[in-house]
Amino acid sequence: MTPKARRKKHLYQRIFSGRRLLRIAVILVAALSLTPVLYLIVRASESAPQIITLLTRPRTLQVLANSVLLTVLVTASATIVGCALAWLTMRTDLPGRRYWSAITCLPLVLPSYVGAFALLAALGPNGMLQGMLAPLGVTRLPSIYGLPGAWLALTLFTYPYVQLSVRAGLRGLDPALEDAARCLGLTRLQVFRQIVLPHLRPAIGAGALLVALYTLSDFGAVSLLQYNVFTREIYVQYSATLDRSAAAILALKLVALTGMIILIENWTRSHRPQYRAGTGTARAQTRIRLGNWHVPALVLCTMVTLLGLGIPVLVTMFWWVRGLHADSVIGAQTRILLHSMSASALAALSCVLAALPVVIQSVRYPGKLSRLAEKAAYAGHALPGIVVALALVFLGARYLPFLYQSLFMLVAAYTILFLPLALGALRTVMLKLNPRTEEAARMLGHTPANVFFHVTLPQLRPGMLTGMALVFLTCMKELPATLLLGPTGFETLATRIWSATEEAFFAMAAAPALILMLAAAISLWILLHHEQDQLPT
Amino acid sequence: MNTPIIACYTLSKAFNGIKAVKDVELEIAPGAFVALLGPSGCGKTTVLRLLAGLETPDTGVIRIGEVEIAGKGYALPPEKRRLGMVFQEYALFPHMSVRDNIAFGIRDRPDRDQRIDEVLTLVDLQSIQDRGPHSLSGGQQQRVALARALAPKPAVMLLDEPFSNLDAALRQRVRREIRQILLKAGVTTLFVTHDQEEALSLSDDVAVMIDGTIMQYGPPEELYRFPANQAVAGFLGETNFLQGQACGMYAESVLGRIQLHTAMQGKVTIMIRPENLILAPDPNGQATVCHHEYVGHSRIIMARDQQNQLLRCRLNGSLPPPPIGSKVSASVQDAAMAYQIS
Repeated sequence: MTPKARRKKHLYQRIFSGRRLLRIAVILVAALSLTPVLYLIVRASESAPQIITLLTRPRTLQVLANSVLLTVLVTASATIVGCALAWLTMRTDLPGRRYWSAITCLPLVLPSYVGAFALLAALGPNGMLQGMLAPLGVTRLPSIYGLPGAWLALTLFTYPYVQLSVRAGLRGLDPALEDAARCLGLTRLQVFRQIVLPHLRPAIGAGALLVALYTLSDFGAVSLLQYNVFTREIYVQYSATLDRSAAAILALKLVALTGMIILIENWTRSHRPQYRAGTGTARAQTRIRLGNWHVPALVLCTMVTLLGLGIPVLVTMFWWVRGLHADSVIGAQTRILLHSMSASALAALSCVLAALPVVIQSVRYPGKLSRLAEKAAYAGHALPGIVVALALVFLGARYLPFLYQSLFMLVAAYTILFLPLALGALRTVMLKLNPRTEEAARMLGHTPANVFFHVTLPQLRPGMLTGMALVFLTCMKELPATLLLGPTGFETLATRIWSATEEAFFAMAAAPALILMLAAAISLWILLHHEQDQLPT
Repeated sequence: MNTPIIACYTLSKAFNGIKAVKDVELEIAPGAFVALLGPSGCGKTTVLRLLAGLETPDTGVIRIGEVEIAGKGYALPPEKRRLGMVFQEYALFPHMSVRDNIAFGIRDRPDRDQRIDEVLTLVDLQSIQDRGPHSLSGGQQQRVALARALAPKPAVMLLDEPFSNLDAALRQRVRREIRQILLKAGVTTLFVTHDQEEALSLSDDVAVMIDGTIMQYGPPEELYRFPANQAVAGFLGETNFLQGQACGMYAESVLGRIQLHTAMQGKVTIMIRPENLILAPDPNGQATVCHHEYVGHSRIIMARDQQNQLLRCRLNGSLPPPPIGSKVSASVQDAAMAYQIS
């Protein structure tokens, strides 16, 4: 071959090289992740003249006030409960603290609408309690709809975020700091306020941020408990009126509020470095003796576990058994289970396929593009599900009528929402993959494509499986996007629980709820295993 | 020298504006066993990766035999170069058995199974061919990596720090084994190392690389005895550097008149290996013994002369050393290398 011909061939290889294909794939994934936000901005700007009137409508202001109030209340109560539990299980001699530590985190994986269902099925009209009290002549119970119910339900399902974060913070706190402060003459209380609390502030902040974001984006609990915040109002506007711009503007406001909370958290985060002087393992932390205080401490743990876990499980079982007596249709259950599973499986596949190029790019060729793609993926994840769903509904109805009302749109929404789960799982494995093995394969005469399929991909398999399992189980629980984007008549476990609870057919919701609880338990188990894998070895 | 089997000329490579390899020239004769020696960060691994095709050179050409495989504007991808490579951490495929690892480079060949058995016998691993890489010891993993690279019968074998991951006790034995295997396979070898003892004891030729350039290239003895400059002299082993005034074939120094290897004039730095310096007990000596270092087979005696300069002398380990504080006179055996001070 002449040098000229060789050069030409090289040029050809560069244009169609794997690197370029990889970049194109990464750009496509980033574009997909950013689609909802971009579309909402376009949509809202089209109706710019209306914005002012819409924003200042008393109804909108009321929704804003409700959202802020609920977010503040839930964040405050979840922070208090989470901190208390973290401290009790980590730093005191609470009896059975290991057991409490594990079990109090469990409500995290239950979807909020299952919690709302349990609350309503227990205490609501035609609920369990009313049924029991009916023989005594009680026909009305104080209402749990509105703020009190939403507040209680959301607190019970979000405090673990704070607990886990604070637990990690306490673990990272060098006990030598406290010892040093005691030696310098500070009392226990002073040490707590001057050493422990400042150290924990970032951990508490991070946990509280997650709680606030969860509360703002939650649709299941607030819609079932009928408290009018943004997510519910968006759904009402969307389903009740033909004016879709109103829903888009509400969605944008919700996004703005979400962004504001992230900014506030960023701003208040202390920038002082947190470090432990010297390396080596820190000494085990001393535990505080609770003495007589262990009675109220145990009461707290029991109460929280009972409300967040015990009652939902018991109530669901109760209605399930009743449903069995009432002979509800089994065939319908398998059909909705199949719906849930098929949509979730497609989403799992799609998420892992989308995550693959992003992870390879960010680990092998880190740079602006990979950072942008990862940020875009996390931005999609931070958006409330109903906002993503709404954006895709509009987009589909307007530009992609042939895809609208098809499973494709639902899978796209799942992918935008849950891509980071697959990213995290794949990344862990990719980081461990030795790039020299890929080079060794090249040296043995294999083309880049061959190397990818025979060396890279097989080594990534465990991460792909973990990612798929996590996405699958999370999609099973997803409600708002499924509700808005599912094809007509496409009922899933989530939508069944939601619609049955809304109409107080608790027995119909029980079996799907039990299946979801099982799925939740499995996903928690995978998460914990995954966490262990991430520890440095 | 007949046509080199692998050669590079004016090879340069920069990473983020920092030049890692500067104008490297290297020619390796067929069948040679060559070491590329240098301190860590000197660019020696980059040279290896450039030859392998895992990096693209900024300038320069690389040839295999008569064929140019990299030059201005193009570089043959690694899979087309047919070179063997053993990586520092072996890079075995964790999802394949030993046998599958070895088969990976010769999948499409009809005589595949026969060749696998051949290399397995060569590296003496028949008994563990069905095990996974994770269950092997470091030495075994290395032999698998070697067998995998040898299987496609490459003309040249590149090894990146092949012995650095082995513990000291194992290293000596493995070195000899690997050299035997590679000689038996009749493959030209270039290996990268930062261990000067390893480079000197194993190879036919050594290229000393410091700061991205090859400072000297030649047989080990030439390098050790007649280093081209002070940096090479210092890197290849302990030395004494003395200031002196050269005048033809000898130079005046604190140790008196020293014979030089080549004729020089003016101010020079004289290089004397510790084993060429003799410290003899002498009550009227100019130097005082200040320190001993016993290293088993030999003993380093350190003494200070009147100018408080430290002199190092290597003595047979079984001989009694002159006591610390005693006076000694120093003399030099053999002609010494000297370097002009500019």
